[in-house]
Amino acid sequence: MPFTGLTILIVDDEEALRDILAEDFRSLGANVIEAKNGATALVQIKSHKCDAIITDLRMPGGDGLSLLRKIQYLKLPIEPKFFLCSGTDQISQDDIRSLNISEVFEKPYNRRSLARTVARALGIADIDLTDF
Amino acid sequence: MKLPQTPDNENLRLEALQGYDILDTSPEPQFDDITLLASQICNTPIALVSLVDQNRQWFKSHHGIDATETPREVAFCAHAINESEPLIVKDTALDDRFKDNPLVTDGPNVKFYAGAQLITPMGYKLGTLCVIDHSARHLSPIQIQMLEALARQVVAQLELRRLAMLARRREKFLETILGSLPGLVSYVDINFKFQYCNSAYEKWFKMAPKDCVGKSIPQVIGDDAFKIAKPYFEQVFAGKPQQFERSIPFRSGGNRIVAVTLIPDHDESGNMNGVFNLVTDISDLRKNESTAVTKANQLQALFDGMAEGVMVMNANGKIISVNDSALEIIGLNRPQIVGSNAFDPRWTSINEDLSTCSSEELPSYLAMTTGQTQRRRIMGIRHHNQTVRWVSITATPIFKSDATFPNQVLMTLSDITELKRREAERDISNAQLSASKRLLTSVLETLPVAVFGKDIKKQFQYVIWNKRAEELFGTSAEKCLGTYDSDHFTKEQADFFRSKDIEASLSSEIIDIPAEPAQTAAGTVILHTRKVVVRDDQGKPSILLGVSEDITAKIEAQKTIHDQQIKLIASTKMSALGEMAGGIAHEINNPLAIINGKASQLKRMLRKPDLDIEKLTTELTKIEATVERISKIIKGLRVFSRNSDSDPMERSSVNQIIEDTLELMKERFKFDSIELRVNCPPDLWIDCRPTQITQILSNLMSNARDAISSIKEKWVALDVKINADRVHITVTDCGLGIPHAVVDKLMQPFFTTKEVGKGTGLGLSISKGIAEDHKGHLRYNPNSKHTQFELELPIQQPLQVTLPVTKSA
Repeated sequence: MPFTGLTILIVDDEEALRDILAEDFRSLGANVIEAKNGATALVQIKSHKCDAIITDLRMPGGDGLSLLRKIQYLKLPIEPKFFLCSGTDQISQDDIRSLNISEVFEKPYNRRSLARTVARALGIADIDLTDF
Repeated sequence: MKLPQTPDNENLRLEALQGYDILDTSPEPQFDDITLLASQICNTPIALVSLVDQNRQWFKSHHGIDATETPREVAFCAHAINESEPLIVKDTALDDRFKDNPLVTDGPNVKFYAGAQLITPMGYKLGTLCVIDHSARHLSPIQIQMLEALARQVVAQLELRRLAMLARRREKFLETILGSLPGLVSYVDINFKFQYCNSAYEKWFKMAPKDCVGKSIPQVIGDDAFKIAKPYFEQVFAGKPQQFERSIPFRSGGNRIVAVTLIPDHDESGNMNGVFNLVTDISDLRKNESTAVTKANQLQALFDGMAEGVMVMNANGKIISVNDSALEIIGLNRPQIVGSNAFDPRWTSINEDLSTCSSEELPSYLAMTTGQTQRRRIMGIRHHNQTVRWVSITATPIFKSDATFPNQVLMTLSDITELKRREAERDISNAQLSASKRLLTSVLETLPVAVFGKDIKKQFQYVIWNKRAEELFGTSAEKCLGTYDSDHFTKEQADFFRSKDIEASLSSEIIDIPAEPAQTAAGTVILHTRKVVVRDDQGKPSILLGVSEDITAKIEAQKTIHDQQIKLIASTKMSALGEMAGGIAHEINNPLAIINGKASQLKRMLRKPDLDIEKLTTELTKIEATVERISKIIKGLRVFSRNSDSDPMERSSVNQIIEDTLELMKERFKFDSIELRVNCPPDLWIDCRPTQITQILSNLMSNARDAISSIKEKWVALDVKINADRVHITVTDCGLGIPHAVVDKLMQPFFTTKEVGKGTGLGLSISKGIAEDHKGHLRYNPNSKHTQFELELPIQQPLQVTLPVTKSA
């Protein structure tokens, strides 16, 4: 399994979307933890070593960007890869650079493309997504 | 018988006789002694003192007979007084004058008569001293001489008697005078004892004058009074008459101010006999004098205290009296002015035109020469230092009793300098007034509005009609001024104007007639007229001023603006829509992502051999629900974007409206981390155009969101309450209210506090309009702790606009 041993945090207030993402990455062998907003996510990060964080942009109780800023500030032992899923909101290039965001996806995103991008960012070379 | 002749000086002789006042008096011994002596000396039985009165002889003394008088015709004495020597009739029977005299033929049978004339010192023969015998005989020359001597004694006695009588009369006269004097008159001897007191002593000391006589001075006037008087008496006894005025405390009657005169009475050799005392009470006099002095002082004070200057000039034009005010006006002191005249070089009389007043023009001169009072002549008095005092002069001539020409002129001078200065100021302000009047006129003429004025006191007659009024109504000022509305307009219109005129003239405010159609030169126009009453100085309505503006074009322009506003409102809606677009896109993109994800998962499931039908169904149902969610959002957008102004009111669920509103707002609120608190009773229905209410609520919510962006803990609450037949929907945010300055303008169109480009400023004004269309209100609640707007709506709309509930199938 390509993602075995890797932990991925999925943050979205939309439960259905969280479910889909979680199921996708679990099927690829990842250890998935979930949070419904930025505040909850921050708690999860402190107790789990996360390799990647996939977060929604707009959420009540802490949006995606401020979550990422807070994580940077915390100076965690491992630096997770950040992936942002937004609606149509424009994210400034400054934010992308300064927050070290690996990729920004627009909803509705392509599942395969998302999985491949996350895998590449985590250094997983060949990933078979034929059954994905 | 021969009748006695009447003496030539009979009248004077009778007057002299009367003067002795002896006729018909009682017998007196000194006369009786003389007749006794005469009868003894002449050895006759009868002797008489006979006085020849007008028609009789009367006997002052009759020795030897009882008769007291006889008629003058038969009187021997009446003959005797015509003789210069004693009349001797030796034998009456032998005398033709007397032989048939009844006194001869009848009792007392006069045979012999000898009468010596009683001749007064003045030479009048009053009668005789006569002797009579019953037998004829003669007298020796000695006897005759003795008779004559005795006759002189009779006259001497008469003289004495007369003098004594005169003395008595004089004394009585004196006594009457002294008695009637209010003052004391007395005589005091050298032992200080009263020898004479007049009747005033009784009044002053309650002692009869005769009781005073013999008493000492202190016994009568009292010890205290005598203590004061004594030194004066000592002086008098030393021969020096005394005269003094003192206040003396008399024994009874208290203090009197008296004037005392003490005159020494001494004989030629200088021996002092006594003192004549004259004491006059002058208390009242002194009192009157002091009153008179007071009065004079008061008059002087009045004279000096008068604000008007007063001068008296004599016939020569010299000032003889002047009061303080006059001195002040003329600018000289009293010594400088008294005795000077109107031509004194220290001051000049000038006319109102500043020319020097000639002597013939001076009011004092005119009053003196014409005898006519010169009233209120305005003149200036130029002082030496060139300052001018303006005075109003009245010159009154004063006549001495019946004189034809006055001997004095009384001048009164009122200082009118200040008055004149004010007058001058008034002239200036009048000039300014007329300048401002001209300005006003030119302003009136150039104003682009019609200005008219009506005289309220003259039944609203036109008195002002400016140029624009001429143009607008096609009536010249010439034709309009002096006429009435009824001369120009139909009765209906004139009545309307009149009613407004009356309303305005009774009101203190401007009466505004925003739009009234009126017939003018250019056809029917819409006028905006304001009427206001102009009051006179007493505050009474005088002129009704009206300003009419032709607002026909303005109204058209407003219509255009209104149209543009409607377009703008529409575009505002679009901009609001654009603003929401981000949120909406996300809102749609999320379910799309869900559908997309689910679809992929389903595809993978289908590839697997053991197909879990149940899970498949669940996932498909989720996709359906997500699609439904998207269609809802689309529906909301459509509702929001369409013009619903003309939609009928329909019975709508408030919950549904709130849900629709939140559907559109939720995403933005979520993004801004604003907590939404919604509290609405279930199953609440109202008559409304739901789309429009959504518009109001989303406007309020959106404003709230923008307003609290900088607050940390953000929340917005939407509460619905029912109060009787109305619904109150409040939108409260966590802000702390709106500044007062802003509150008033909140609902005005295009008012915004947002940054340029962020808001149009139309939201609240449109919302307010919608609320009012619904017979409701939209207001800011200034009493709430947090920023709160309240939308109040009736649950039921009036029947005619309410349609039955139409539920779509």
